[in-house]
Amino acid sequence: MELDRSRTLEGIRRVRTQPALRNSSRLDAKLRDWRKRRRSTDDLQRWLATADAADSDGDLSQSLVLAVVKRIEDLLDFAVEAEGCDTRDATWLRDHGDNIYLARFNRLPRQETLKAYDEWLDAHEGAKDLWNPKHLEDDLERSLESARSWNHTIPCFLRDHPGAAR
Amino acid sequence: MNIARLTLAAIVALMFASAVFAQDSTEAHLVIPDSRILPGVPFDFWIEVHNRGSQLKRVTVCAPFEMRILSGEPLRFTEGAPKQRSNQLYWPHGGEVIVGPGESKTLVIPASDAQYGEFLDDRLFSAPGRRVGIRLPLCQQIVGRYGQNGDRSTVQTNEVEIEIVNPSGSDATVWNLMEETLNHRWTPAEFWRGERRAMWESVLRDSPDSNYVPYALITTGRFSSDWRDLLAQQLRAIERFPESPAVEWLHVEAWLSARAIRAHGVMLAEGAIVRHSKRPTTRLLAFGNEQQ
Repeated sequence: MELDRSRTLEGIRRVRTQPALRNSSRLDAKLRDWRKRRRSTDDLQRWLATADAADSDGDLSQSLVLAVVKRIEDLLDFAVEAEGCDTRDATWLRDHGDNIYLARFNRLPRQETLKAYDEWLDAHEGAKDLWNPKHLEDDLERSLESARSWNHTIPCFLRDHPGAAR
Repeated sequence: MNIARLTLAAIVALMFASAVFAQDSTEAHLVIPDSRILPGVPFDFWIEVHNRGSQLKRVTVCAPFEMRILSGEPLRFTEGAPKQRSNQLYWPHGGEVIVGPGESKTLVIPASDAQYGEFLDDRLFSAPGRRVGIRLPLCQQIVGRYGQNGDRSTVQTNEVEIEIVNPSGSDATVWNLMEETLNHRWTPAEFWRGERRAMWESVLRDSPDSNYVPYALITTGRFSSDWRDLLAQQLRAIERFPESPAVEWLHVEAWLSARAIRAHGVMLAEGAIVRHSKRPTTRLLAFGNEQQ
């Protein structure tokens, strides 16, 4: 079961350390360093753990930044998992995974906070409300899911977990 | 002259009434994707509802299946007709659609719903070797502009034939166990009873070749605390029983297990299968109504 991050120490830390991540260039730079192996996965994970989620005025469940950060954290977990299973996956994730996410990140509404976005929405009658972190998380998962076939990961998982009788 | 006028008026009124009736008709097409089903297990089905009328309608499942025995063992008097029970029509995923004029919608009932209601729990589905034609009465109600409901009427689906297969080999062994322990029926709603859980666990242990294994795994999986082992068992069962009517249900379960333990590669692989499923029952089970 996933914890409600807004009620955890992690949530408090994210809100209180507020460097402006809403501008994607900083995230882009960090990911580029990771892709080019100038930054380790551990180091990027640590940086992401304190990344800002201040775009939702304290309500982390409404944070678009956090939705992207959570998915990038998953991507890094997966890269670590892949190193021990199929190194081609790990290489692919480094070379392509971040771009898939960043492309979506760059299409987010330009307003830096939910409050500013709501004001913009009020002023633009008929505009579709695109501030939907849950939808964004699903969307990012689907993007990676459809980027290539992952069927080969199943035999690899089974090789590592031979316990279940065939 | 007066009689002729009256007759003409009656004919016009009849034509008008039948035109209105035709205009307000609803078509309901029942789909059961698996035509052969083991005795005593639930199955997926859905109904494609098309509103040919000019008004908004609410269409619901409101009565049990109607059955016609086509071959095999005739109805025994102890089976009787399906009974209306208080929770018989309880659907975790709906059981109702609102269909606008000219619109088509699908009313989806995954097999997993049988874990909560008793709709598929009838002994009529548990006679091996029986071939039955089944159809489903639906209720429709016109929904007024302000949400008030109009008169209720019934819509009948087409009839679909299914065969309750005669179990042999290890399937027969499991079926005998089900007869002894479960009174011939799929009763996961009462799974908290220790002897029922033990029965399904014994199927996994003692009858690993049985076609009941996917159902046993789905049922016992609800009580597993070792998610990695459970996921491995689910993936092996998918590999071993690719033609099982429950295989897509197993894919959903495997996807959920992979999410739970953050096995990202497996999660993406299973997610793709579930998302591209042709069965609305599978997509509903995985994603709920939103992404149907």
